[in-house]
Amino acid sequence: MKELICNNAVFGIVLCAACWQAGLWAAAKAKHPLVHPLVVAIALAVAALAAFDIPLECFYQGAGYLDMLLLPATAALGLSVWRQRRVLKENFWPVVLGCAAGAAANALAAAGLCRLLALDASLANSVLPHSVTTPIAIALSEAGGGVPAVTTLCVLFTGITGAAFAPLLVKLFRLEAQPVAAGVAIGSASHAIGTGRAMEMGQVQGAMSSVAIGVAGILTTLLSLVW
Amino acid sequence: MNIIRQILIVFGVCLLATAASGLLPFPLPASVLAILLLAALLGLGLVKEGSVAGLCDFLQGHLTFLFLPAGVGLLEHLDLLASSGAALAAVCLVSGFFTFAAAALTVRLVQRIQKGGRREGTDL
Repeated sequence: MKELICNNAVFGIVLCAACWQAGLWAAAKAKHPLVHPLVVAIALAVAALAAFDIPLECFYQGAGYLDMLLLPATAALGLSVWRQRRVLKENFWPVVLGCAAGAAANALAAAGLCRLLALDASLANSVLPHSVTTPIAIALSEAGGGVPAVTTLCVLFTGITGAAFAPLLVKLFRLEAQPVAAGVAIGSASHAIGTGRAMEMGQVQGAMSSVAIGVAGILTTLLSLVW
Repeated sequence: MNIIRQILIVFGVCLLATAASGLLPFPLPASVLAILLLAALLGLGLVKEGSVAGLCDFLQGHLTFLFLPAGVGLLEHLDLLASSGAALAAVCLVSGFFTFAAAALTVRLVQRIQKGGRREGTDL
Protein backbone atom coordinates (compact mmCIF):
# COMPACT_ATOMS: atom_id res chain seq x y z
CA MET A 1 0.00 0.00 0.00
CA LYS A 2 2.75 2.43 1.01
CA GLU A 3 4.61 1.45 -2.14
CA LEU A 4 1.53 2.30 -4.23
CA ILE A 5 1.16 5.76 -2.71
CA CYS A 6 4.80 6.78 -2.51
CA ASN A 7 6.65 5.20 -5.39
CA ASN A 8 5.57 7.55 -8.18
CA ALA A 9 6.27 11.00 -9.58
CA VAL A 10 3.28 12.83 -8.09
CA PHE A 11 3.70 11.84 -4.42
CA GLY A 12 6.56 14.30 -3.74
CA ILE A 13 4.69 17.17 -5.35
CA VAL A 14 1.49 16.44 -3.43
CA LEU A 15 3.41 16.19 -0.14
CA CYS A 16 5.20 19.52 -0.84
CA ALA A 17 1.97 21.30 -1.76
CA ALA A 18 0.15 19.90 1.29
CA CYS A 19 2.94 20.84 3.71
CA TRP A 20 3.19 24.32 2.12
CA GLN A 21 -0.53 24.93 2.56
CA ALA A 22 -0.26 23.83 6.20
CA GLY A 23 2.74 26.15 6.59
CA LEU A 24 0.83 29.12 5.15
CA TRP A 25 -2.05 28.40 7.51
CA ALA A 26 0.22 28.10 10.57
CA ALA A 27 2.09 31.31 9.72
CA ALA A 28 -1.17 33.22 9.23
CA LYS A 29 -2.44 31.93 12.59
CA ALA A 30 0.76 32.61 14.51
CA LYS A 31 1.37 36.10 13.06
CA HIS A 32 4.95 35.98 14.33
CA PRO A 33 7.94 36.83 12.09
CA LEU A 34 9.82 33.72 13.27
CA VAL A 35 6.99 31.33 12.25
CA HIS A 36 7.76 31.14 8.54
CA PRO A 37 5.66 28.99 6.16
CA LEU A 38 8.78 27.30 4.75
CA VAL A 39 10.09 26.32 8.20
CA VAL A 40 6.74 24.79 9.14
CA ALA A 41 6.51 23.04 5.74
CA ILE A 42 10.05 21.56 5.99
CA ALA A 43 9.37 20.33 9.53
CA LEU A 44 6.07 18.72 8.50
CA ALA A 45 7.50 17.05 5.39
CA VAL A 46 10.54 15.73 7.29
CA ALA A 47 8.24 14.46 10.07
CA ALA A 48 5.90 12.76 7.57
CA LEU A 49 8.74 11.02 5.70
CA ALA A 50 10.34 9.89 8.98
CA ALA A 51 7.06 8.75 10.57
CA PHE A 52 6.04 6.55 7.62
CA ASP A 53 9.62 5.51 6.89
CA ILE A 54 9.44 6.74 3.28
CA PRO A 55 12.81 6.81 1.48
CA LEU A 56 13.99 10.20 0.18
CA GLU A 57 14.36 8.71 -3.34
CA CYS A 58 10.58 8.27 -3.49
CA PHE A 59 10.06 11.88 -2.36
CA TYR A 60 12.52 13.25 -4.91
CA GLN A 61 10.88 11.39 -7.82
CA GLY A 62 8.30 14.18 -7.73
CA ALA A 63 9.97 16.89 -5.64
CA GLY A 64 12.89 16.86 -8.08
CA TYR A 65 10.64 18.59 -10.63
CA LEU A 66 10.08 21.47 -8.20
CA ASP A 67 13.78 21.59 -7.38
CA MET A 68 14.56 21.87 -11.10
CA LEU A 69 12.44 25.06 -11.28
CA LEU A 70 14.85 26.87 -8.93
CA LEU A 71 17.19 27.72 -11.81
CA PRO A 72 14.60 29.49 -14.03
CA ALA A 73 13.12 31.11 -10.89
CA THR A 74 16.55 32.56 -10.11
CA ALA A 75 17.10 33.60 -13.73
CA ALA A 76 13.88 35.61 -13.29
CA LEU A 77 15.89 37.90 -10.96
CA GLY A 78 17.43 39.18 -14.21
CA LEU A 79 14.03 40.70 -15.04
CA SER A 80 13.78 42.29 -11.56
CA VAL A 81 17.25 43.82 -11.88
CA TRP A 82 16.42 45.09 -15.39
CA ARG A 83 13.14 46.61 -14.14
CA GLN A 84 15.09 48.47 -11.43
CA ARG A 85 17.69 49.75 -13.91
CA ARG A 86 16.81 53.41 -13.28
CA VAL A 87 17.22 53.15 -9.50
CA LEU A 88 20.34 51.08 -10.01
CA LYS A 89 21.82 53.63 -12.41
CA GLU A 90 21.07 56.56 -10.10
CA ASN A 91 22.66 54.78 -7.12
CA PHE A 92 25.20 52.63 -8.94
CA TRP A 93 28.27 53.19 -6.74
CA PRO A 94 26.47 53.20 -3.35
CA VAL A 95 24.72 49.94 -4.29
CA VAL A 96 27.71 48.13 -5.79
CA LEU A 97 30.21 49.24 -3.14
CA GLY A 98 27.68 48.67 -0.35
CA CYS A 99 27.00 45.12 -1.55
CA ALA A 100 30.73 44.50 -1.99
CA ALA A 101 31.46 45.67 1.57
CA GLY A 102 28.57 43.54 2.84
CA ALA A 103 29.81 40.45 0.97
CA ALA A 104 33.38 40.96 2.23
CA ALA A 105 32.30 41.53 5.84
CA ASN A 106 30.04 38.49 5.59
CA ALA A 107 32.80 36.21 4.33
CA LEU A 108 35.30 37.49 6.94
CA ALA A 109 32.91 37.25 9.91
CA ALA A 110 31.56 33.83 8.88
CA ALA A 111 34.98 32.34 8.13
CA GLY A 112 36.40 33.75 11.37
CA LEU A 113 33.55 32.37 13.47
CA CYS A 114 33.72 28.97 11.78
CA ARG A 115 37.38 28.76 12.73
CA LEU A 116 36.65 29.99 16.27
CA LEU A 117 33.90 27.37 16.73
CA ALA A 118 36.10 24.71 15.10
CA LEU A 119 33.47 23.70 12.51
CA ASP A 120 34.73 21.12 10.01
CA ALA A 121 35.28 22.09 6.39
CA SER A 122 32.05 20.61 5.03
CA LEU A 123 29.92 22.42 7.64
CA ALA A 124 31.86 25.67 7.20
CA ASN A 125 31.32 25.58 3.43
CA SER A 126 27.63 24.92 4.04
CA VAL A 127 27.19 28.01 6.22
CA LEU A 128 29.59 30.46 4.48
CA PRO A 129 27.18 31.57 1.70
CA HIS A 130 24.23 31.99 4.13
CA SER A 131 23.42 35.61 3.21
CA VAL A 132 22.82 35.17 -0.53
CA THR A 133 19.73 33.90 -2.28
CA THR A 134 19.27 30.11 -1.88
CA PRO A 135 20.04 28.85 -5.44
CA ILE A 136 23.34 30.76 -5.51
CA ALA A 137 24.12 29.67 -1.95
CA ILE A 138 23.46 26.02 -2.83
CA ALA A 139 25.72 26.25 -5.89
CA LEU A 140 28.53 27.85 -3.84
CA SER A 141 28.08 25.30 -1.05
CA GLU A 142 28.26 22.36 -3.48
CA ALA A 143 31.34 23.79 -5.18
CA GLY A 144 33.09 23.89 -1.79
CA GLY A 145 31.97 20.42 -0.67
CA GLY A 146 29.19 21.64 1.62
CA VAL A 147 25.81 20.02 2.31
CA PRO A 148 23.02 21.75 0.28
CA ALA A 149 20.29 20.90 2.83
CA VAL A 150 22.26 22.52 5.67
CA THR A 151 22.92 25.55 3.43
CA THR A 152 19.21 25.87 2.67
CA LEU A 153 18.45 25.89 6.38
CA CYS A 154 21.18 28.45 7.14
CA VAL A 155 19.97 30.74 4.34
CA LEU A 156 16.43 30.40 5.61
CA PHE A 157 17.44 31.07 9.22
CA THR A 158 19.45 34.14 8.16
CA GLY A 159 16.57 35.46 6.08
CA ILE A 160 13.94 34.97 8.77
CA THR A 161 16.02 36.43 11.61
CA GLY A 162 17.21 39.21 9.29
CA ALA A 163 13.64 40.13 8.42
CA ALA A 164 12.61 39.97 12.08
CA PHE A 165 15.50 42.19 13.25
CA ALA A 166 15.49 44.57 10.25
CA PRO A 167 13.35 47.31 11.88
CA LEU A 168 15.58 47.22 14.98
CA LEU A 169 18.79 47.41 12.90
CA VAL A 170 17.38 50.29 10.84
CA LYS A 171 16.83 52.20 14.11
CA LEU A 172 20.23 51.21 15.52
CA PHE A 173 22.08 52.54 12.46
CA ARG A 174 19.69 55.55 12.14
CA LEU A 175 18.58 54.63 8.63
CA GLU A 176 14.93 55.72 8.98
CA ALA A 177 15.50 58.56 6.51
CA GLN A 178 18.08 56.65 4.44
CA PRO A 179 16.01 54.39 2.17
CA VAL A 180 18.90 53.45 -0.15
CA ALA A 181 21.23 52.41 2.69
CA ALA A 182 18.46 50.54 4.50
CA GLY A 183 17.41 48.66 1.34
CA VAL A 184 20.94 47.66 0.32
CA ALA A 185 21.78 46.53 3.88
CA ILE A 186 18.60 44.45 4.23
CA GLY A 187 18.97 42.87 0.77
CA SER A 188 22.64 41.96 1.15
CA ALA A 189 22.19 40.57 4.68
CA SER A 190 18.89 38.73 4.33
CA HIS A 191 18.12 38.24 0.59
CA ALA A 192 14.51 37.65 -0.55
CA ILE A 193 12.92 37.09 2.87
CA GLY A 194 14.36 40.39 4.15
CA THR A 195 13.27 42.10 0.94
CA GLY A 196 9.67 41.30 1.82
CA ARG A 197 10.16 43.34 5.00
CA ALA A 198 12.02 46.11 3.12
CA MET A 199 9.06 46.44 0.74
CA GLU A 200 6.82 47.08 3.76
CA MET A 201 9.13 49.96 4.77
CA GLY A 202 8.83 51.72 1.43
CA GLN A 203 9.15 51.51 -2.33
CA VAL A 204 12.79 52.66 -2.49
CA GLN A 205 13.81 50.29 0.30
CA GLY A 206 12.10 47.39 -1.49
CA ALA A 207 13.62 48.22 -4.87
CA MET A 208 17.14 48.66 -3.46
CA SER A 209 16.80 45.46 -1.46
CA SER A 210 15.76 43.41 -4.48
CA VAL A 211 18.58 44.87 -6.59
CA ALA A 212 20.97 44.04 -3.72
CA ILE A 213 19.93 40.34 -3.82
CA GLY A 214 21.21 40.05 -7.39
CA VAL A 215 24.28 42.27 -6.94
CA ALA A 216 25.30 40.69 -3.60
CA GLY A 217 24.80 37.20 -5.05
CA ILE A 218 27.04 37.96 -8.00
CA LEU A 219 29.70 39.72 -5.90
CA THR A 220 29.73 36.90 -3.30
CA THR A 221 30.26 34.41 -6.13
CA LEU A 222 33.14 36.47 -7.54
CA LEU A 223 34.60 36.79 -4.03
CA SER A 224 34.43 33.02 -3.56
CA LEU A 225 36.39 32.56 -6.79
CA VAL A 226 39.36 34.53 -5.50
CA TRP A 227 38.99 33.30 -1.90
CA MET B 1 0.71 35.57 -23.26
CA ASN B 2 2.19 32.60 -25.07
CA ILE B 3 3.39 30.47 -22.17
CA ILE B 4 5.31 27.93 -24.27
CA ARG B 5 7.24 30.77 -25.91
CA GLN B 6 8.05 32.19 -22.44
CA ILE B 7 9.26 28.75 -21.32
CA LEU B 8 11.39 28.51 -24.46
CA ILE B 9 13.08 31.86 -23.76
CA VAL B 10 13.57 31.54 -19.98
CA PHE B 11 14.55 27.86 -19.98
CA GLY B 12 16.67 28.47 -23.08
CA VAL B 13 18.58 31.16 -21.16
CA CYS B 14 19.02 28.65 -18.31
CA LEU B 15 20.25 25.96 -20.71
CA LEU B 16 22.82 28.33 -22.24
CA ALA B 17 23.90 29.43 -18.76
CA THR B 18 24.27 25.82 -17.58
CA ALA B 19 26.36 24.88 -20.61
CA ALA B 20 28.50 28.03 -20.28
CA SER B 21 28.96 27.40 -16.54
CA GLY B 22 30.33 23.93 -17.35
CA LEU B 23 32.73 25.35 -19.94
CA LEU B 24 34.17 28.07 -17.71
CA PRO B 25 37.50 27.26 -16.04
CA PHE B 26 36.19 28.53 -12.65
CA PRO B 27 33.02 27.57 -10.74
CA LEU B 28 30.55 30.37 -11.59
CA PRO B 29 27.03 29.05 -10.84
CA ALA B 30 24.64 28.70 -13.78
CA SER B 31 22.06 30.72 -11.80
CA VAL B 32 24.33 33.80 -11.68
CA LEU B 33 25.11 33.51 -15.40
CA ALA B 34 21.39 33.12 -16.15
CA ILE B 35 20.55 36.33 -14.23
CA LEU B 36 23.21 38.26 -16.15
CA LEU B 37 22.23 36.76 -19.50
CA LEU B 38 18.52 37.50 -19.08
CA ALA B 39 19.23 41.07 -17.89
CA ALA B 40 21.59 41.58 -20.85
CA LEU B 41 19.04 40.28 -23.39
CA LEU B 42 16.42 42.64 -21.92
CA GLY B 43 18.90 45.52 -21.87
CA LEU B 44 19.88 44.98 -25.50
CA GLY B 45 16.21 44.82 -26.49
CA LEU B 46 16.63 41.29 -27.90
CA VAL B 47 13.95 40.07 -25.49
CA LYS B 48 10.91 42.19 -24.66
CA GLU B 49 9.67 42.41 -21.07
CA GLY B 50 6.26 41.09 -22.17
CA SER B 51 7.71 37.89 -23.64
CA VAL B 52 9.13 36.70 -20.28
CA ALA B 53 7.24 38.65 -17.59
CA GLY B 54 4.36 36.21 -17.10
CA LEU B 55 6.57 33.21 -16.38
CA CYS B 56 9.24 35.19 -14.47
CA ASP B 57 6.71 36.85 -12.17
CA PHE B 58 5.03 33.50 -11.53
CA LEU B 59 8.32 31.77 -10.65
CA GLN B 60 9.59 34.69 -8.52
CA GLY B 61 6.29 34.88 -6.71
CA HIS B 62 6.58 31.21 -5.70
CA LEU B 63 10.34 31.14 -5.12
CA THR B 64 10.09 30.29 -1.41
CA PHE B 65 7.93 27.22 -2.11
CA LEU B 66 10.57 25.92 -4.52
CA PHE B 67 13.12 25.69 -1.67
CA LEU B 68 11.03 23.03 0.06
CA PRO B 69 12.57 19.98 -1.70
CA ALA B 70 16.11 21.16 -0.87
CA GLY B 71 15.08 21.82 2.72
CA VAL B 72 13.62 18.34 3.13
CA GLY B 73 17.06 16.90 2.28
CA LEU B 74 17.78 17.88 5.86
CA LEU B 75 16.21 14.54 6.85
CA GLU B 76 19.55 12.87 6.09
CA HIS B 77 21.49 15.33 8.24
CA LEU B 78 19.46 15.57 11.42
CA ASP B 79 22.44 14.35 13.49
CA LEU B 80 24.52 17.20 12.04
CA LEU B 81 21.87 19.70 13.09
CA ALA B 82 21.70 18.25 16.60
CA SER B 83 25.46 18.46 17.09
CA SER B 84 26.24 21.75 15.31
CA GLY B 85 22.91 23.56 14.99
CA ALA B 86 23.71 26.13 17.69
CA ALA B 87 27.12 26.91 16.17
CA LEU B 88 25.59 27.34 12.70
CA ALA B 89 22.90 29.65 14.09
CA ALA B 90 25.57 31.74 15.84
CA VAL B 91 27.57 32.08 12.61
CA CYS B 92 24.45 33.16 10.70
CA LEU B 93 23.39 35.75 13.30
CA VAL B 94 26.81 37.32 13.91
CA SER B 95 27.95 37.49 10.30
CA GLY B 96 24.48 38.64 9.24
CA PHE B 97 24.83 41.58 11.63
CA PHE B 98 28.27 42.50 10.26
CA THR B 99 26.95 42.25 6.69
CA PHE B 100 24.12 44.67 7.48
CA ALA B 101 26.48 47.08 9.24
CA ALA B 102 29.14 47.03 6.52
CA ALA B 103 26.62 47.47 3.70
CA ALA B 104 24.70 50.28 5.44
CA LEU B 105 27.79 52.24 6.51
CA THR B 106 29.43 51.88 3.08
CA VAL B 107 26.34 53.12 1.25
CA ARG B 108 26.22 56.17 3.56
CA LEU B 109 29.95 56.82 3.09
CA VAL B 110 29.75 56.61 -0.72
CA GLN B 111 26.66 58.84 -0.74
CA ARG B 112 28.47 61.42 1.41
CA ILE B 113 31.52 61.36 -0.88
CA GLN B 114 29.34 61.74 -3.99
CA LYS B 115 27.31 64.53 -2.35
CA GLY B 116 30.48 66.23 -1.12
CA GLY B 117 31.76 66.37 -4.69
CA ARG B 118 28.71 68.35 -5.76
CA ARG B 119 27.60 70.31 -2.73
CA GLU B 120 29.06 70.72 0.75
CA GLY B 121 27.16 70.32 3.98
CA THR B 122 23.85 68.92 2.79
CA ASP B 123 22.94 65.42 3.82
CA LEU B 124 20.71 63.22 1.72
